Amino acid sequence: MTRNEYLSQLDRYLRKLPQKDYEEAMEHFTEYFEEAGPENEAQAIQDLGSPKEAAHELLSNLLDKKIEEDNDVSNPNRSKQIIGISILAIMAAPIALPLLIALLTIILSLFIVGFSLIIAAVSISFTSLAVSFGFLWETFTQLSGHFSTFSLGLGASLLSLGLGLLLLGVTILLAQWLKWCIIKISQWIVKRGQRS
Amino acid sequence: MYYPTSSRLIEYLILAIVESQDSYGYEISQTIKLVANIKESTLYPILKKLETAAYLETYTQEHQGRKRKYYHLTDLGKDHLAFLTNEWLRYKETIDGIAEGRIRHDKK
Repeated sequence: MTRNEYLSQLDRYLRKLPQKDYEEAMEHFTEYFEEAGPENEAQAIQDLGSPKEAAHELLSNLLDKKIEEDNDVSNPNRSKQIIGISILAIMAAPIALPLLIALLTIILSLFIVGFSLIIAAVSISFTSLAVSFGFLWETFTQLSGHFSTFSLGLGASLLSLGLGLLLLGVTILLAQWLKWCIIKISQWIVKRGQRS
Repeated sequence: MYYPTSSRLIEYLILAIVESQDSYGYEISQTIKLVANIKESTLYPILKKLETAAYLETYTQEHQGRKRKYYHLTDLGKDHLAFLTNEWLRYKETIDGIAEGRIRHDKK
């Protein structure tokens, strides 16, 4: 393998990284070869390990770093980046292809299930809010004649409002939990890959 | 080497390497590899981190027709290195003391 072959293989594993991380990584490996010089090229390739090994190690370090920085609010894309890097790291993990496809499918289905749950919860909570305003309207226009019907309508309206808001809160928790789940599973897969 | 080298220790070693003389990535890397079983993919983020923390600054210089990126220790880096050296001496003294039987926790 020559230096250029090495770098182009590495490039394939890292191309999908966020621009800045990609550039830093490729720049460093290019510099490494440059400074090692052509006479040490074979030695340099041996030191670096195969492009896949190097990429896997790099991606799992980067993943740890991004998770650590997860509380840094200055980067609005951090969740998307973490999930993206997890997937790249899993793809570079030394795992047999069928198993790899199975693992990625599990993560994808988990994501779809979670996403559907979130959509369902959001729809129900919006319905409750709409129903609540409906009741409120009815209360003042149709049911205001008697105190008992008025309070029944108002009560129903407040009940729907409460349920809607509660469900909205649950949805936010659900979304956070889903993200955490995907990160933990990916980390587990990536770390297992490293041990073997 | 049998004992693992933590990334904090590697930060200390990198700063110590460039203290007396500016050095370039490959040379730093080869020196670190004398003691630590570390991959390049782990090492360069540490270098990057030290650079971001302004402990190191870089410049490019040509050497025998090859470009080299040199690392230079900043004043901030010198302060940090002094702290790390002090911490390392404390650590080393304690380890040596325990290993040689000079230091022990006295139960009273």
